[in-house]
Parts: sequence; structure tokens; C-alpha cells
Amino acid sequence: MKKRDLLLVVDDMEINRVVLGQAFCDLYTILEAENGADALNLIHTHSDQLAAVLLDVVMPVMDGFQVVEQMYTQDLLSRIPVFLITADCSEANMRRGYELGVMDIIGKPIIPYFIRRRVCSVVELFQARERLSRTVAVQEQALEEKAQEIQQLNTSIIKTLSAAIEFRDCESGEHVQRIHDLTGILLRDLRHRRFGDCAALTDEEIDEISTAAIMHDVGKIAIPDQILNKPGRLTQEEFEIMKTHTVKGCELLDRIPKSRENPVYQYAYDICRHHHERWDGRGYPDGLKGDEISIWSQVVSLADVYDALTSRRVYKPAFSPEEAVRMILDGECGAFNPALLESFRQQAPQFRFICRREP
Amino acid sequence: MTLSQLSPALHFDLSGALARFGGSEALLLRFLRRLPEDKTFAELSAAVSSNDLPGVERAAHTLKGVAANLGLEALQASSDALVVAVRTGAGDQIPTLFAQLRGDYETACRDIAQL
Repeated sequence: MKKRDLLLVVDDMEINRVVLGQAFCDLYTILEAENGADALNLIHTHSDQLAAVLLDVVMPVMDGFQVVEQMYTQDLLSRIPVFLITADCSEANMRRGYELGVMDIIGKPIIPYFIRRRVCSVVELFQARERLSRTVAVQEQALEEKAQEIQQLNTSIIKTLSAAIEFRDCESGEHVQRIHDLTGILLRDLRHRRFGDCAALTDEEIDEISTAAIMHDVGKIAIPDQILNKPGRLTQEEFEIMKTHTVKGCELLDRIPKSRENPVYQYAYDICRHHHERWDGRGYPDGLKGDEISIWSQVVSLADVYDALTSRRVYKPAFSPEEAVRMILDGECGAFNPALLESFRQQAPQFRFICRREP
Repeated sequence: MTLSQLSPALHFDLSGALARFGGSEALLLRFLRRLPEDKTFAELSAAVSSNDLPGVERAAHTLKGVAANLGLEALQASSDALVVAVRTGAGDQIPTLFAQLRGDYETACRDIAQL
């Protein structure tokens, strides 16, 4: 950051430039110009280093008022204080100077002590203001970074929580990771095929939705063990309790501080609540039908079904990838958007790869 | 002649002028000596002769500034009078006022030659 240690003195008479320079030569390096045009050139060259400009009014080529007008249009007056030094202190002249935006109008002949005080106190104000706005900019940047860190921290906490919750009814924490990957695959395929709103999804949004997908079953924390891990078929009553993991998941997410400000959570609420809805309207908890279900909830729903089919669960063995694909496409397991099924069919090899198991 | 011995008629402000030149007598002397060579007076003279009112205003204004910096208050005052006369439309007073100014100018030049 350059220091503002230059002072520009503008007057067509050398004697006047000398006198002004004398008053300030111990404080600043003095630059001189003898008309407005030369002055403007110097101002542009040294705009970051000038502490002030002392400007005569009556000059050939370009007069003082014209210089100030130019500086005003180029937004330089707020950064470099300008002082008119003139032998003509008529009211009309002074008024015009102030209206154009000069900081002060000082009469000739100058008195060194007074002009130093008047100029230096304004220069000090300008420099303090400049320092302050620089500090503010730096702090704003730091705050922005901190805010992002907080959001990232929040996201990793919930990811960990989701994986931990999964431990209760699956063998490992890998189910949520697979759902994350499958969600991404389907969304990218839908975007590629320009399906509806998916055509406009950015990579960042796809990442956010995939992260949100990880949290789809956090509500299971509220489901008792004997229901969650029952080897046999659930009774009607038990099934009703199991279904509540959707809304319970939303309640849990709601309690996370600052969650509403994070785009990931917007998707997560939706997915948590609606990943058991069905295209034919016979899902739960809200019985949404068709396009009433957001596309990301539909995607997670399908991914969840495929992964469940190809995994061993306490109540069933694992099906083969081919079998799982057939069951979904035939409508034997769940009811889905035909366009979504098309993407699924295209991406079946990818799905198989993601859900492969070590023998 | 020394600086403190300039004609009283000039109303010379020595301490003010010296302060403006950073306390340096040498610097003040250098610029005083330039006054007789300064073309502003010649320009003013020409403008008065040809009744070029804007020219008179400009030259008188410049001369006023120079005189002020040099502490020559009488010359400053007579220059200012000419500026005011042009601005207030009292063009008929110019010859008289210019005569006064010339007197002050020539007194100053004469004394400066002897410094």
C-alpha cells in the first residue's frame, strides 16, 4: 500500500508555486504543474500517492475550476482533497468552488502557518477515512470466510450424525455414502437429458442435493430397536410408527442452529419428509402424487429402493443387481416417474458398480 | 539598501513575505528581483492601452497575486482596484487607477534595483 506523501502545487506563476512549496516541503515531496492539463496528467499518474492538490484558479490552457470538474467526473475528489488558492475571494467564486467539491478556498497571499493547518487537518481526515474503509473491507472478507467455515462444519456434523444413525439398522455407514453417489449419478443423467428443472442444475447444486440425500433416514433415531431391527414383517401398528421416521427426521434437522440458512438443509428437509412418497400417490406421510413430489425426493427414493434391494437386511436377503433393476422397472418395487426410470435404465451399470459388494 | 529600508509608500510587509519564503532572505530577494522583468506589467499596460477589459482583469489579477506574495501591499491594493473596476463596469476609472498602479510599480522596481 503506497503512502500518500506527494503534494501537487498548480499555478502558472513560478513565484506562487515556490511560496506554496515552501510551506509544505518538510512534510511532502512537492510536484508542480503550471496549467490544468499538466496537473490532470500528474494527478492520474500519481492518484494513489497524492495527499492533496493545491490549485490556482486563473491559468492558461485549463483553469482551476475545469480541473476540479474533471476530477469530480472521474470520482477522484473523494480520494484526493483539493484546495483552491486564489487572489479572488469574491463570494461568487467561493460558492462555485465549494459547489464543485473543493475542500477549502484559501486566499492569496498565503500565510504558511494557517495554510499548513488547514490543509493538514483535512488530509488527516481523508487518510483516516481511507484506512478505515480498508480495515472494513479486510474484516468483511474475514467474516465471510468464517461464515463459510461454520456452514461447512455444520454439514460435516450432520454427515457424521447420519452415518452414525445408520449403524443401528445396517451393517455399516456405507449405505448413506452409496445413496449420495447414486443421487449424483441420476441427477447428472437427468440434467444431461434436459429433464425439466434438472437441465438448469449447477454442479454445486447437485453436490448440495447429494449431501442432503445422506440425511434422508436420520429420523430413524426415533424408532425403537424392536421395530427397526425386527426380522419379520411389521404389524400395522409397527408400520405406522416406522413411517414417522420421515417427519421425525425433519424435526431433528429443524433443531440444528442456522440450518435454515444453508441450502443443503433446504433439500434435506424435503428429502427427509418425502423420500417415501410414490408417483401414484400411495406413499407417505403426505400422499403426494406425480410432480407434486420434488424431483430430488423422487431420485433419493429410487436410489434408496435399489440399495435396499441389493443389500442384505435383517428381514430379507440381498437380490442380484439384475433382479433389482427388473423389479424396479416392472413396477414391482415402488412407483416412479417414467422419465426417472429411463435415467435409471441408462445408468444401471453405474448403479451396479456403486453397490458392488466384496465377496 | 536593505530589505527593511524599502520606501514606506510601498507598505512592504517584510515579516509576512519572509515567512512565505521559509525565512530565507536569499529566496525572497531572488523573487523580488524578478519583478522588474515580469511580463505581467507589460501585458497589463498593453491591455489598458487597447481597452481590452478582459485582458486588464486577467493581468491585474495576476499582478495582484504576485505583489501579495512579495508583501508589496500598496501594489497589491492598486492591482485589486483595477480588477474591481473592470468587474463593476467602472471602465472610465481605469486610466486613473492604472496611473496609480504604475506609480507603485515603478517605485518598487527602483528600490529593488538598489537592494
